[in-house]
Amino acid sequence: MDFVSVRFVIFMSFAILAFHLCSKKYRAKLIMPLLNAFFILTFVKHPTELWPFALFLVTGFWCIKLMERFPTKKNAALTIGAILTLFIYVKKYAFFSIVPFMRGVYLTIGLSYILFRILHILIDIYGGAIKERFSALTFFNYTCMFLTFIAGPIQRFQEYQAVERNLGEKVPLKREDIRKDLSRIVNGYFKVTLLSPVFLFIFNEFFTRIDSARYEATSFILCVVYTGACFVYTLHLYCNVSGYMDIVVSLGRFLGLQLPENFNKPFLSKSFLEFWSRWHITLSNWFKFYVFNPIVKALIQRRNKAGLIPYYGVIAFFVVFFLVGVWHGSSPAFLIFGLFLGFGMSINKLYEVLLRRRLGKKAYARVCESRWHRALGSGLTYSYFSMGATCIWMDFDKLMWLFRKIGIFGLLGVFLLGGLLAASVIALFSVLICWRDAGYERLYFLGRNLYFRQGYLSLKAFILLLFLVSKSHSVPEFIYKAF
Amino acid sequence: MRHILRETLFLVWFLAAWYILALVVSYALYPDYKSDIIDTKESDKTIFQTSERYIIFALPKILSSPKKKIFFIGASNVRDGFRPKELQSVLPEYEVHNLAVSGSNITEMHDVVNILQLLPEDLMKKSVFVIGIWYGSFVDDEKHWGTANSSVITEALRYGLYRLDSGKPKLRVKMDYLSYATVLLRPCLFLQRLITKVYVYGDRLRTFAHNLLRKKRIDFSAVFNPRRPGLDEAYKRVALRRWQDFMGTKNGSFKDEQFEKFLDLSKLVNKSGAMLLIVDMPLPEWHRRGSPYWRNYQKKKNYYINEALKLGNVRYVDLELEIEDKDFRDSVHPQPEVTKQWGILLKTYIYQDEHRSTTL
Repeated sequence: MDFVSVRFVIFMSFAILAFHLCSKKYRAKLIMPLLNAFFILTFVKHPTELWPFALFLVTGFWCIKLMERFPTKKNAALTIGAILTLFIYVKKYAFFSIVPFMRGVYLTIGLSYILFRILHILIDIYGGAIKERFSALTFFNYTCMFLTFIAGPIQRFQEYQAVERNLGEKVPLKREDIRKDLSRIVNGYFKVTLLSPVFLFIFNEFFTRIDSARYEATSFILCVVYTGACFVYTLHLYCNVSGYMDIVVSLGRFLGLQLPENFNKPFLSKSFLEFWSRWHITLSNWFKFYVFNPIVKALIQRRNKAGLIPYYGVIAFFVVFFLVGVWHGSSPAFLIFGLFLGFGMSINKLYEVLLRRRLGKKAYARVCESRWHRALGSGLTYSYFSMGATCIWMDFDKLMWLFRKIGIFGLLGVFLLGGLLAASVIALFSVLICWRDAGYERLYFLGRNLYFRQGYLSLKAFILLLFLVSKSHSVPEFIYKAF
Repeated sequence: MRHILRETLFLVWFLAAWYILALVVSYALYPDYKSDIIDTKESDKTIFQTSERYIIFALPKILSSPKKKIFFIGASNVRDGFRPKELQSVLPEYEVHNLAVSGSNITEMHDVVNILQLLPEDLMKKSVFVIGIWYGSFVDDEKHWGTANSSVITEALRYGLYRLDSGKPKLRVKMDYLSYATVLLRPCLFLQRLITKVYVYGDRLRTFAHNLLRKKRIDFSAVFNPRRPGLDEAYKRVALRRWQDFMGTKNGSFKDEQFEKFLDLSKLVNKSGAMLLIVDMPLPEWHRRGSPYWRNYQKKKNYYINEALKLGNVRYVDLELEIEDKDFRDSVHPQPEVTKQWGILLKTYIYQDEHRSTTL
């Protein structure tokens, strides 16, 4: 079921009504599983498309049951290995093309997110962080909750459990909160259905030029066009995924479900390290808990020397972000994405470690807070990430051709040009926000006026509806749905 | 729950207010176009803006008078060549509608005829369909539309007022209510106009950027709007090349697909009881001479037109050789001064008393 559809509006209205009108004891045990099951079923045309998905869920559940009874190291390795193997098999990873994969069409949407949830449970049971026994219903609700099914956020089980317990209570909603949530939903749809397609449209203009440049363009033109494509695609990606999160998180509140935030103004990050604590936050946290920390811990156990510990971070960051990159897709281009992200994070960490060592903590902090460092940092971070995101929109062969055509200096040029462009736009945007806020100060009486605010919100919603009814453009799919 | 409902209703209430405001603005900027006939050349003066939308939404206009109707269907050369107001004086018993859509191939003409089939049967029986064809009308669907529907069908399906039933457009609402539905959709149509404007500016920006980077100017106006007096040899060469790109096949060859559809279209009109007048649209002599498509088209069309003429109530007129080169403003379109003359040429064919078929 598409989030931008009348069907979803009806479904969601029904869900809200059911949640609020039903007796509290049925919310988690009946309404929630029914809604989840119905939502998943809308993605399949035939029941047979469901069985690999069901197999994955059942295997995950039995692995958890095994770990609950015998939480040994051997079982942890066995269950994690089994679930990862099954995941690779079902997702048909191209790196393992020698394996005879399943044929035909079947449901794989949401599988990556389910994998994270299952792995997290297995690791936490082994580590003793989760002690209580799982029921099949709780497992199903947690792994397949309809709001987070398609593209997260990846909520930790401990947090989910608290939410599920509260489902039994009366959903506490204040009028002002609902107004804010409604406003955020409208903003989310605005990003997804209007801004994202506009950026995609502009991106396609650049992309066609890159395609045609195969035969005619000089490397310089190609670099300029490629910079434009990278810059715009990242905006499209951001509007698409953050808009989706706005919708999901706010709708969750209507049902009394507190979902974690996934984005926090990522383009204002001063470094690539900071960027990943603001972009896809739940994914970064997951990797921090279950990959980064264990790697650093293992390295410290191997050689515990205070001077070396910061460098362990450099290694761990490389491994973690290589995996983050590979997780994004099953084609060879994502290996490059992983290497690119890993390299970026490691270099950024190394820069931080060396500069701090050279300047000292206070001076380092002063440098980081300087206006130029901040502007350049955010610009180059944007540029680096957007170049990495090329792997999402370009296949491996074309990517290789592009690298060969523009060369290492070309890539560097794109990075710097993109950084300069991004830094300028971010600076301009910050100035505009300052002006807007100053304007708000002066027009504060309007901002406080309920009718004015409602008028502004409804105007956005009205424009949105006009666009949707006019079908003036096709709304792009949620990009993270494919991961 | 009470709060959610209250806030949602509050939002809906404001949405309704914006809707009414948008409706008022749309009427203020684009008042109802006062005309009893549909002339797609005038579509830009209406809120519909495009020929396709004009045909789809203004359909009830055709029912406003009990007069016999003539429908001109074809591409832009039909739209520019047969002006309803001029023809009205030549054919006073008829109400003339020009439903030509720029760049139409036979599939799109077929779709327009299908839409007209939604009108009452008795009206169809006393109507005349004038279908203007030339070699460009036979560009195959894959080249022209790719995997998409024709632009008429795309527009018909856009707002959900039409649905496709075995490939034919059907109205979801009664014909009597189509005008009301159009009023309701005015804010959306207004938005479409604005979007088109943005696209136009975007296109200019793209051309500017393209020219800036490539240093080589693109003559987008090569075929359709020469913007220069007289048609010199360089223009003619570019125009012929552009038509070759438009057709997309090698050596001027044609697939059977569009010719078969043309026969289907003839059968459809014939079945409805209306008269069909097939007009082979004229081209300047240099275009005919220089295009391999024209030569192959001459060979291929005869069989299909003869088949159509066998249906009865079908007539054929070849205007190809009757018009002089000086009467063209570009490679296909007539000078505005000669269009009345084109209409007079058709008059004799429409007024023939016996519905007699003639073979080529």
